[in-house]
Amino acid sequence: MSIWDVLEIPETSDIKTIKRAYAVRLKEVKPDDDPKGFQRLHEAYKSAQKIAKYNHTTNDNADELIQIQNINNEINVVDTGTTTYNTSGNDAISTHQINFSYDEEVPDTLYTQQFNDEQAIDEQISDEQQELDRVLSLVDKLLLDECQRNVIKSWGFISSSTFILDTDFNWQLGLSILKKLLEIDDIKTSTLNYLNSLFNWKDDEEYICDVIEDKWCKTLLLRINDLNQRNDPVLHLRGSKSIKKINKIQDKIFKQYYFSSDARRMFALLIDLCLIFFVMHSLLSIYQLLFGGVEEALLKKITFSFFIILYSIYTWSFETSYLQSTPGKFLLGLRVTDKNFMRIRHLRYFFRLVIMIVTSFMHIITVFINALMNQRYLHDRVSGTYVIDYRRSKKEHEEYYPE
Amino acid sequence: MAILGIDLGTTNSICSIWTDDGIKLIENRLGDILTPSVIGLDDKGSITVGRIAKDRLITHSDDTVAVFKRLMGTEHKIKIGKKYFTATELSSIILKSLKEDAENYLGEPIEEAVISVPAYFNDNQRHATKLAGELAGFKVDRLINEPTAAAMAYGLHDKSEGIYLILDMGGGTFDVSILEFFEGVMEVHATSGDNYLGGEDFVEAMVTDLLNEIGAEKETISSKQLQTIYMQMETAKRKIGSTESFEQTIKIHKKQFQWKSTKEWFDRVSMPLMLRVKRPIENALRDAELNSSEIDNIVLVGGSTRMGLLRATIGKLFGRLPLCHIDPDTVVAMGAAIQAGLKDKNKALNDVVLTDVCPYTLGTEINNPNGGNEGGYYYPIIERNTTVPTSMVKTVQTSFDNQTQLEIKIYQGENRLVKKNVFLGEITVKVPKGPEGKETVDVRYSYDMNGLLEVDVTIVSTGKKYNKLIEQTPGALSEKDKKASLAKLSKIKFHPRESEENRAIIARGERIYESSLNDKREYIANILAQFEKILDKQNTQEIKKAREKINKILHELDNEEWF
Repeated sequence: MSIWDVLEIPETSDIKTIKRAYAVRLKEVKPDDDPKGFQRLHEAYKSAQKIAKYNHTTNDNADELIQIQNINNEINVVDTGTTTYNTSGNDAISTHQINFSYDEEVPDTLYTQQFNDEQAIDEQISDEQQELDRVLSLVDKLLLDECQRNVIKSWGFISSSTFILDTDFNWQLGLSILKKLLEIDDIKTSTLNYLNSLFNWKDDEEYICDVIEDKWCKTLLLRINDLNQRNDPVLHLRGSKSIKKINKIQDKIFKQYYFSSDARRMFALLIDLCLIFFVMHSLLSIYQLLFGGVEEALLKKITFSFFIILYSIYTWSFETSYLQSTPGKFLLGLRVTDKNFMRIRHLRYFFRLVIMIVTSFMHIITVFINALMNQRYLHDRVSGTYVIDYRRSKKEHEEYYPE
Repeated sequence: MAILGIDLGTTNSICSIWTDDGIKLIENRLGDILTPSVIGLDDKGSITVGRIAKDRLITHSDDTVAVFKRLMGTEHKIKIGKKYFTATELSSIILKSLKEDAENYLGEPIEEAVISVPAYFNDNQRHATKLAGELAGFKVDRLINEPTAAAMAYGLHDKSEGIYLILDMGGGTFDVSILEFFEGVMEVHATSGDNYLGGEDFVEAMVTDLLNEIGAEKETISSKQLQTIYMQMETAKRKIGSTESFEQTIKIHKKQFQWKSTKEWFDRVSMPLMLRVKRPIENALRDAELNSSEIDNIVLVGGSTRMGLLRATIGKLFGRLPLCHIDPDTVVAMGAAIQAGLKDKNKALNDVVLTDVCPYTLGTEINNPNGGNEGGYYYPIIERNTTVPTSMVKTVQTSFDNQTQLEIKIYQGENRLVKKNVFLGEITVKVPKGPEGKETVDVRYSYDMNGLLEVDVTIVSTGKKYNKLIEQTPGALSEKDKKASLAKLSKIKFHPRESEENRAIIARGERIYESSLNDKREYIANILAQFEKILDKQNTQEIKKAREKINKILHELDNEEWF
C-alpha cells in the first residue's frame, strides 16, 4: 500500500491537500482507538510532506541554485557580526553547531572562519564588537583589582550588557574571559560558578579546552560544579527540612541473597554444639587429670557457665573472622553478616551475642517465636544482622559474584 | 459522570471541568480558583491543604511543606509532624483535597481525572504522578503535557490555525512546545524544557544574593525567618515588574535590615536563568525543523510568565509580542478540562484530535559500538520528539561466546553514555548458548499516549517473548507498598471543611502578625482575639459579619503578595 493509498488521495505536491487529507483520515483512525493504524497514517503523512517539500524546492529553485550560491558569497563578505537579536534561521543553526560542536558534527573550519571574520570586522567596527571591547576592558580592570575580582557583585556589568543574550556574543565573550581567567591564580570557585552560569562553559567543556589549548583549562573547568547544584531536587523544597532518602540499592542486594532456612540453621547449631561439648569435655578431663577430681555439684555449676563462655568465644572468633561462619555453618554454606551483607564488626557481634544468650534462657518461648520470625530470628533482628545461605545465593545469582 | 481536568502545579493546583457550556473552573472550599500546593499539619494534628497551609508556612515552617513537585519520582521522603511522606503521597493529598472540592461543588462523586504534567517530565515522574492520582482515588485517564493543554485552550479559544510556540513557565518547571493547529488537528511537533527552571528559582536566586550581600549563612537562619525572607522576595519579584525599586525590612537573627530591591539588581540576579530560558527554545525549534519566522503565535503560559523581564527577553528573542490573553495561571487547567471532554467523547469536541510527542529519547545499553567489550554506551530506540503512540524495534546481539543471558536495560535521555541518562528498568532474558553475535534479540519499545513505556523482547531463534511495562522504577511502589501507602493516607485526618474559612482568617492574621512590628502587631493580636471570642459564641450570623470585616482589615494590613 503506498502512502497515497493510506492518505486516500492521489499523488500530489500540494501541502494543503495533504494536510486536509491527513486531518480527515485522522478522525477515522484516532491515536487512542487504533494506535497501529495511526502510526501507519502518521508515517504516510510525514513522507508525503517530505516528498512535497522536496518537489517544491527542486522545481522552484533549480534555476536559482547558482544565484543563491553567489548571494551566499556576498553575505559572507558583509559582516556577520551585526545580525544580533532576530533569531532568524541562521541564528538557530549556528547555536546548534555551537552546542554540539564537540560531537564532531561541525568541522573546525567554522570557528577559524569566525575568527578570520573577527579580523575583517576590525575595519568596520560593529556595535557588537564595540560592546565586546567595552566589556572586556572592564573585565581587565576588574581582574587587576585583587579585592574585587572575587566579589560576585562586581561582575554584574556583564549581565547588564545589551548583547548578553545573543548566542555569538555570549560565546565569544565567554571564551575571552576564560582565557583571561587562566592567567589569574586566585579565582574562587564561587566566582567561576557564577561566570559559568552566564556562559555555560561546562556544557561545551571538551570543545572549549580544544579551542583554548591551555593545559590548565580543564583543571579550571573541573572546579565548576553547576550540575549538582542545579539538579538537586531537594534544594528548593520549602518548609519541612527533614528529608531522608530511601535506599533502594538495599533492595537490589536483598534480591541477590537468600536467608538461611530454619533446618539448616538448626543442623549447623547441632554440629557446633557437638564440637563445643567435645572441646569442653576434653578440656575438663585434662583438668581432672592434672589437678585431680572435682566435686560433682561444683562440676555441674561450672559446666554451665563454662559452656556459655566457651560458646561465646567459639562463635565470636569464627563468625567475625573472614570465614563469617562457625565450622557447622561453614559446612552448610551459611554466613553471618551485618545489615549491608558485610563482615560483622566486633561491637555489633557482642550485641548479637548478648541478645542471643538472653533469649536462649527462655528456650521454648524463643524457639516458638523464632519459628514465626520468617527466617530472621529475634537476635538477628534486634542486632541488625543476617544469617544468609551463601552457597544458594551464589548459585542462583552467579552474576553478582565475580571470581 | 464527569471527568475532572487537573493542573497539579508546583505552586498552585487548579481543577476544572468540561460542561456543555464550555470550561468551568472549580472553586475550592474558600471560594478560590487557585489552591496553593502546600501541605501542613495544624495544631490538632490534622492535615490542611492550600491557603491556610501556605500562611502557616511562615508561622509553622517545620510542619509545613511546599515546592515538592520536583521530588516526584525520586526516593526522597519528607517529614511532616511525625510521619514521612514521599512527594507522590503529598501530591495525592493535594489531589484528594481538590477531588473533595469538586465533588462538593458539583454535587456528584467524581472518579476519573486527566492530570497535567510538565512536558519534560521523564517516565519516572509520570508514573509517580499517575500513582498520586490513583492514591487519591481517581482513575487517571490521561496524563496531558502542560504546554499541550495550554495550546488546546488557546486553539479552541481563538479558533485560528497555525503554528504555536508555547512557553510554559510555572513555579518549578519550564516547558517549550511547538505545535500546529489545522483542520481540527492539534499536532505537537517538538517538546523541550528544563525541569529545574521556574518562578521559585528566581526567588531562590534573589534570596541567595541577598544573604550573600548581608553576609549571612543560610544554614544559620531559623526556618521561620528564612521562609519570611522567601515570602518577601516573592512579593518583591512581583512588585518589581511595575515599579523601579521596592523597599522592605528584612529580619535576620536579631538584626533588621532595610533592603531595597531594584530592577537592575533583579535583572543581574536572574540573568543566568534567562540564559537558560533560551536553550530549550533553540532545541525545540531545531527538532521541529522550523525557524522563528515560521512561528505564527508565541503563547505565554504559567504564572511566572507575568515577569516583565521574561516577557522582554522573549520579545527581544523573537522581535514581537507574545500572546497571553488567557489567564496564564488557569490556562493549563482549562486545557486539561478540554482533554477530559475529549476523553468523554463530548459532542462539541468531536472533531478535535490531538497528537503528541515523546520528549526524551528512549534506548538501551550496549557495548562500545566501535569495538571492544566495554559497556555503558547508549543505543537509542525511539528518538525524542517522535509522534506517539509509537512502536519501534531494534535488534541487539550477544557480546561473547556461550552467553546465556542478556540484560536489556531501559534508559531515557540524550547522552551517549547510559550513566548520564535516567534508568527506567531492566529485563533479563535467557538465550541459548552459541558463539558471539549468533543469538539476536528484537527489542520493541512502545510508547503510549500517556507517555508511558512498554518493552517487548523477542528472542529471534526461539521466538520466546518477554514483556515489561515499566513499573519497577525508582520511587514506584509495589502492590504491597501501594496498599501500605493507601492505609497511611486513609489514617490522615483532614480538617473539617466547615470551619475552614475561619481558620484561613486566623492563619493569615498569624502570618501578618509574625512579619509585623510593635503597634501593628498588637493591633492584629487584638483583632484575632476578638474574632476568636466571636467564634466561641457560635452565632453563624455574627461570625459571618465579623469574617467580612476582618478580611477587609487584614487585606489592608498585608504587605505581601503571597498568593
